[in-house]
Amino acid sequence: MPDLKADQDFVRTCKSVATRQSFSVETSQNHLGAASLDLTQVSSGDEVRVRHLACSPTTCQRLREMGFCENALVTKIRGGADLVCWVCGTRVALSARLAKQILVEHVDGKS
Amino acid sequence: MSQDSPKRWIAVVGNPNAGKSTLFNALTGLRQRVGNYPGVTVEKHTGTAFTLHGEAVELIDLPGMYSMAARSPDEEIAVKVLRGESVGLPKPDAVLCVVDASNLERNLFLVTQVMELGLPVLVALNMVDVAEARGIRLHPDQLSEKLGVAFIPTQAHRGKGLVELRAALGQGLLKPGPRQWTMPPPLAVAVGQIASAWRQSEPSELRAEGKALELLAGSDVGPDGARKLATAWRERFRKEAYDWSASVVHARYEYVRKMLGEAGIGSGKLGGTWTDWIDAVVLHPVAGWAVLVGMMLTLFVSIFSIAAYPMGWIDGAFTWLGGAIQNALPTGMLRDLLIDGILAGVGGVIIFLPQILILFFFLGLLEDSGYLARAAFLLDRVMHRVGLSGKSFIPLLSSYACAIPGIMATRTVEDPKDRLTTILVAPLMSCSARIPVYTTLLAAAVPVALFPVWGKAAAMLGLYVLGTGTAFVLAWLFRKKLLGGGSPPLILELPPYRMPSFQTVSLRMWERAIIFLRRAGTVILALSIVLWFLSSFPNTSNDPTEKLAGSFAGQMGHGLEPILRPLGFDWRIGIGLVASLAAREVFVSTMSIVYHVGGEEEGLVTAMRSATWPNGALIYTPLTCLALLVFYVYALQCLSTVAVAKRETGGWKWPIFMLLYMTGLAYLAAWLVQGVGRALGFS
Repeated sequence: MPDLKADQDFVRTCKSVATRQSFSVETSQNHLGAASLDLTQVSSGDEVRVRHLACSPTTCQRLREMGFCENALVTKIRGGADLVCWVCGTRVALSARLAKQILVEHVDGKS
Repeated sequence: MSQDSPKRWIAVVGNPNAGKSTLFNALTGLRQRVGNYPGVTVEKHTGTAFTLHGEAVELIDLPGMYSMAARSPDEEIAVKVLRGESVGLPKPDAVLCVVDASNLERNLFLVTQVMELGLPVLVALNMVDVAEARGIRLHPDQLSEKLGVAFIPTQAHRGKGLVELRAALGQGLLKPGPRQWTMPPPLAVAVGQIASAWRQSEPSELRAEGKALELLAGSDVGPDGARKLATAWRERFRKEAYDWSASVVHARYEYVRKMLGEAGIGSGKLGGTWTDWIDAVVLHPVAGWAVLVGMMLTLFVSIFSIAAYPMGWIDGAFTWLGGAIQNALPTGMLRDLLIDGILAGVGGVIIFLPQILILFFFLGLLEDSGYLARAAFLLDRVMHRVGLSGKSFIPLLSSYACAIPGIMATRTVEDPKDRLTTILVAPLMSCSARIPVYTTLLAAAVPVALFPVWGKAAAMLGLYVLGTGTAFVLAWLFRKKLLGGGSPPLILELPPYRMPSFQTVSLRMWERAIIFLRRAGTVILALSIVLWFLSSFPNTSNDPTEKLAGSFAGQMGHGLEPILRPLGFDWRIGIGLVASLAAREVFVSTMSIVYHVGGEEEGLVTAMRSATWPNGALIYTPLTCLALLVFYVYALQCLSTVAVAKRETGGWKWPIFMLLYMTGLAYLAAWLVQGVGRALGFS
C-alpha cells in the first residue's frame, strides 16, 4: 500500500495541487463562481479562459490533450449548432453539447 | 558503420496532419498517401531512408496521435509500435517526432510524452514556412537547448531541411532527452514508488517513470509489484477525488507554455487569413450547404461533360481494334474470344476510366485543400441525429471513391459502436465502381436527345443522395436500435486551407488509374474469359440469342429468372448480377459479352434498349432501369469490401450481416420500385 506520512497530509497535498491548477476536486460551484458560463454562451470573437470541464473522464482527457485544459485561453471563432474555437494555435470544431460542458470565464472579467 | 550492424528502426510520430507522411515520403522516396485533414494515415508503413553517411535506416510511418493514451484503433497502432508491442516490427531504436511549427504548444505536449519512452528523440520542426507566414518566430536552437533534444527545421513538401535531418539521424548522434516538466507532488510520490519497483528491470529512471505513468493509466504490462502499487495508487487517488491524469496534462502544458514563452515563441495571430475568409462561407449554415451541393453537382456534370471526350477516344480505339481483329483473323473461336470475350469485357469497363479519374480529381482537391474536415463539421448535426458524430463522415466520404479505404479510415473513429456502424453503412455510399453501371443504365433508360448533361448529372446526384440518405437512416437504426448507446460528441481539428498540390492530386489519380487498369487486366479479363466460355458453350445453335440461352450462363440465368422476374429483370440481367458479385463494374462487361457488342459503350446501350421479352415487350424500360439502378445503389457486389470488413471487425459475423442486409435491401427496394411504378401506370 502507498506509504505517505499520514492520510491527512496526502489529502491536503492533493487538494492544494488541484486547487492551484483549478481542477475539480471541489464541486464546480465552489470554485467557479457566478461569472462562469459555458462555451456556447460566449459570443463569437471573444477570448475566454477554461475554468472547468464537466464531461466524462475520457472526453475530458481528450479535450485537455487537444489544448482545452483548465486555464487555457480559447477564442470562439464561430457559434451555432456546432462551434469552432481557436486553441493552442489551431481551429478545433466542437459539437454544441460538448461545448456546453466546457465552463469558461471571460479573460477581462466581463460576464 | 559496420556491415554486420543490425539496421536501426526509427518511428515517425506526431500529431495528425503534422506532415509525417510527407516527410516519410521525402526521406524514403516512397509514395504514401498524404492529405490535408486529420487521419489520412491509419496504418503503419515502413521504408528505407539513408543518413548523410550512407547508413540505411528503416523508417516506420505511424498514424497521427494527440497523446500516448490511445483512444482510437489508429492511435493504438502507433502506441503499440512505440512500445515495441507491434507484431512483426521490432521496438524502434529512436523516434523522429514531426511537429507542426505553427502549432507548437499542442505538438510539443506529445513530444514530452514520447521522450518518456527513454528512446533517442529527434524533432522535425515541420511547416516552418506556415509558422513564419503566421508571424511566429521560431528559435530551433533554444528549443533544442530547453527540451534537451535536437530540433531541425523542415518543409517536407518542398524537400527543405532534409539534408540536416539525414545528418542528425546518423548513428550515435541521437540521445534520449531528460524529463523537463515537473510532476505535481502527490503524483510524484506515486510515480517514484512505482518506478522503483520497475528499476530492477529498467535501469533508466526516465523510462521507469514513463512506465509508471503507463501503469497508472491502466497498462497491465510490468512486474507484479509495480502493477499492485499502481492499482493501489489509482484507488487512493480515486478516493481523494484527485484527477491525476488531468494534473499530468496540465503540468505538461504548463511546462510547454513556459518554455515557449521563454524562447520567445508565440502562437501566432488569429483572423484575417484565407482560412478565416473561406470558412466564413463554407461553414455558414446556409451558404455552406449551397457550396457542398454545388460542388457535388459540378463533379457530376464534369463526369458526364468533360469525360465524354476521352471516353469517345477510348471507344474509337476499341472499335478500331475490334475491326482490325475481325479483318486479321478468320471466323472461329479465337476471334470470338478476342472480340466477344476479351474486347467486350475489358474494353466495356476501361471506357469508364476518365469518369473515375474525374471523381478522384475532385476528391483529391477536397482532401488536399482542407475542405474535408469542414464537410464533416457541416454534417455533424445530421450525423448526430442518426447517432454518429461528424467524424464518421470522413470515412463515409472516402467511400465515394472506394469502400475499402473508407472502411479502413474508420480507424480514426474513437467509439467502437460508432466505428462498427460506420463500417456497416460505408458500402452504401456509391463508390467509383458503380459509375460504369450507373452511366450505362442511365443511358439505357433515357434517350440521349431527351437527357442533357445537366439531367444526367442530376440523376447521378440523385443516386448518390439515395445511397447516402439510406446510409444515414440505417446508421440510425443500427446505432440506436441494434448497438445501443448515444453518439459521441464531435472534437475535430480543422486544418488551415492550402492550395491543393498538383503532384499529390495527380499522383492519386495515377495510382487509381493503375489499380483500375490492373483490375481490368486481371479480375475482369479472367471473368470475361470465363463468362465468354460459359456463354458460348455448349454450342446449341448458330443464332446468337438461342446460343446464349442454351449455354451454361444462359441456363444459370434462366434458373434465376423466377426470382428476378418480380423485379422486372430477365435471365440475361441475372447473368450480369451473378457475374458482378465479385465486383460491380463486371455487370457492364458481362452485358457487353451477353449482347456481343465488343468494347463500345454506345453499342451496349443500343443493344440493351432494343432487348425484348419473348412477348416483344421491351426489357430495359425506364422503370426496369430505375429498379436495376436502385438494386446497384444498395447491393454489396464487392468481395474485397467483405474481406476488409472481416479484417476490421475481427470476424465473419458483421461482414455476413452486411452482405445479407444489403442484398435483401437491394432486392426489396428494386421490387418496390417496380411494383409502385407499375401501380402508378409507368412501364
